[in-house]
Amino acid sequence: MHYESTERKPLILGDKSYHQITEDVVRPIETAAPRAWWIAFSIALVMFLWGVGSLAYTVATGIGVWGLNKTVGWAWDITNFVWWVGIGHAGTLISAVLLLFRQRWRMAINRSAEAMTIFSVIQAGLFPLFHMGRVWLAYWVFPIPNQYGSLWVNFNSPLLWDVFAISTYLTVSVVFWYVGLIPDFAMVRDRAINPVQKHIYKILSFGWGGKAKAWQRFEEVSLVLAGLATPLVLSVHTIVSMDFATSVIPGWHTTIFPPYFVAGAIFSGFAMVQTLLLIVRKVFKMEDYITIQHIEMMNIVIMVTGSIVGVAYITELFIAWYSGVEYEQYAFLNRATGPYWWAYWSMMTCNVFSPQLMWSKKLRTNLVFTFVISIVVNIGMWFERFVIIVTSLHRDYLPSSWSMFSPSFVEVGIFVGTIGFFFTLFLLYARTFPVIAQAELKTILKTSGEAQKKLHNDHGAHH
Amino acid sequence: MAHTTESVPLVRAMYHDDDVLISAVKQIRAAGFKISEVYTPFPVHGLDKAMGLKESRIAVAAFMYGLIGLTVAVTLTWYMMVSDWPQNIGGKPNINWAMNMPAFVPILFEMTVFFAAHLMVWTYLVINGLYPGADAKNPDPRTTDDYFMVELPAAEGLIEALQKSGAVEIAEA
Amino acid sequence: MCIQRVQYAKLEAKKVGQPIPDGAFTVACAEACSTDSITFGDVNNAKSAVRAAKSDARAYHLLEEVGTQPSVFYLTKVRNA
Repeated sequence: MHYESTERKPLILGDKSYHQITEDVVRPIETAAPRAWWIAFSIALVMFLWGVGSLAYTVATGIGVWGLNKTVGWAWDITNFVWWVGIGHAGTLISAVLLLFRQRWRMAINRSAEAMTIFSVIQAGLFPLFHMGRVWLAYWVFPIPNQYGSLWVNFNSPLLWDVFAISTYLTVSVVFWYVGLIPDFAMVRDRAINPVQKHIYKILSFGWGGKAKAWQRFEEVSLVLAGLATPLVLSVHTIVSMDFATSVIPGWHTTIFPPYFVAGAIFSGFAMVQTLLLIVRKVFKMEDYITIQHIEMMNIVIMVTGSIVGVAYITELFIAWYSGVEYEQYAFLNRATGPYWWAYWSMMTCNVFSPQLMWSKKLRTNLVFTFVISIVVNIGMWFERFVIIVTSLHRDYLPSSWSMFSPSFVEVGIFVGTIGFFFTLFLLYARTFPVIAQAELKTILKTSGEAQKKLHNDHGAHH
Repeated sequence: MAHTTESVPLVRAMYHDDDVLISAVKQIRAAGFKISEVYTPFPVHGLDKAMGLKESRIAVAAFMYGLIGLTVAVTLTWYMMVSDWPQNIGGKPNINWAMNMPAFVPILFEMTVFFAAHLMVWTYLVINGLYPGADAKNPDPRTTDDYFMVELPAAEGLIEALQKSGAVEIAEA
Repeated sequence: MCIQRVQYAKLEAKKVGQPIPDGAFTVACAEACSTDSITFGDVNNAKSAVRAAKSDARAYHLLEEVGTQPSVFYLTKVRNA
């Protein structure tokens, strides 16, 4: 029997038994959705449908309905792509990296964090697809024999690396998530009384029976997937950053991008996890599982990664000055004082100053503050990608090419649509999937449960 | 895996605690009885060792699948970029694969991971007999909640041994 | 650079097993230009007109310092002749 130090705060509060964990986690699935859920779902659905309309209009009429021009060839499309992919990285980090580091506090949050990842990456994937214009030719990105001589794809291009990276990332995340879900679906199946529900969860649970050999393989597969997913988190956003870093554009062509982007991704991803989980734990009354300690741990990650991002910003400024390259220097001068200065300063305020407030224990354990900051961070990170892309493009080497960009209502509509789509998926998930990895969580009840720790401590006083 | 023929009756013992389960499994096996299966709601640490289960080699399989993925990626990039239709793309070297290889690292890495992960999970599902719509493999639905079941072929003196080991319910199938 | 014309010329030359002579074909813009401002050719061919132009001291690339070695180069206007 492995015991945890009394110094460690319990990860499961209250007086819980294995059965109680089952009951608490399955309750949102077995009970009817409250009115608040229906209201949120309706709003999300409307936003989603608005996005569908915007996309249909784009495909039917062409990219000309967006605000892009020859100088600024990428704007909201790629900003949104990077924003959504970045958000997704937190879920994988929580599932995979924290598993490798044996951080048991991940167990209450990994299921929902991974759901967030998958839904984010789906949104992200829409942008490279639709920004092609001729979406029906999207299959051209795959190395398939064809009648153009067999014209092959360009493996030297970061844009193609993205195709492989994002496909791998999305499918491996889904698979990692599903492997963990199978035993939990079996739990819902075994309790189901409604025959329709029983049948659905029977299909979803793949016949899982909790045999010892199956669990042994489950743990091994989870460990290997975690080991594979960890370098994926690092590589995918590195590859995304290469879309910019491998170019010659001032403000893009910099070796700091890979670590800077990865840190930024984790930063924004954890912020989104906070936004979602603060709502989930309250609405589903799961505060005993997603505790203040969990919130605080995530805030610490946000603070650390936010600091890395802040240091990266300062490094860029320093190198622009130190290098003596006038194009690089102008790129940053333009960001801070040019026509998009408001975007730059929003980015700086939201990303650099706000996470520093978390040095205060009082603030990082405060739920309202956490919720507000989590949204502020994601706004800041959106502006970061916008600033990188648009300010570098709109004024690069040749002043004769300088131009301005502003989004059309179609671009805004697509972005709003992805937010709606994301929340539609998440709301549906929240009421049909076990939002906490309850089988995994049960394994730490005896070591990290509040009641169990107290019992052991009372006995342990005699040791 | 449970291998039962019609002629061998089974005994099913339920436990309500994982620590009791582990010591029971050890006791039962020490007494010389065979265990055909144990059903638990979560992975119980040390259970596979207590049962004498062989270590899983699925990680080894994943490694091999990764190598296959890497081979596929190397072959794909070599064939398409060096052999079949090498093109002058920004002056990148394509005389031989080795000179162009650094540009292919992201592709090689992603395909290695892709093959390793997906083939491993597919193998995992197949060897565990898991597929959409499969019948539940646990005989008692409480074993996905908070009960643990040990399934054994009936034997002389088994019932008493099970009772001594802390089983809360014993049934003959 | 008029990839279809380039590819066609290359294939025709390959069929007869001869290298492409300088001036055998040109790109649409060079053909259209009434003042012969544009010269097109194989810069690897030591005897081509375009190679001679490249060796001229007046030759430069746009944003040469960025190092992308573009296929297009310009000759500085002669102002003091």
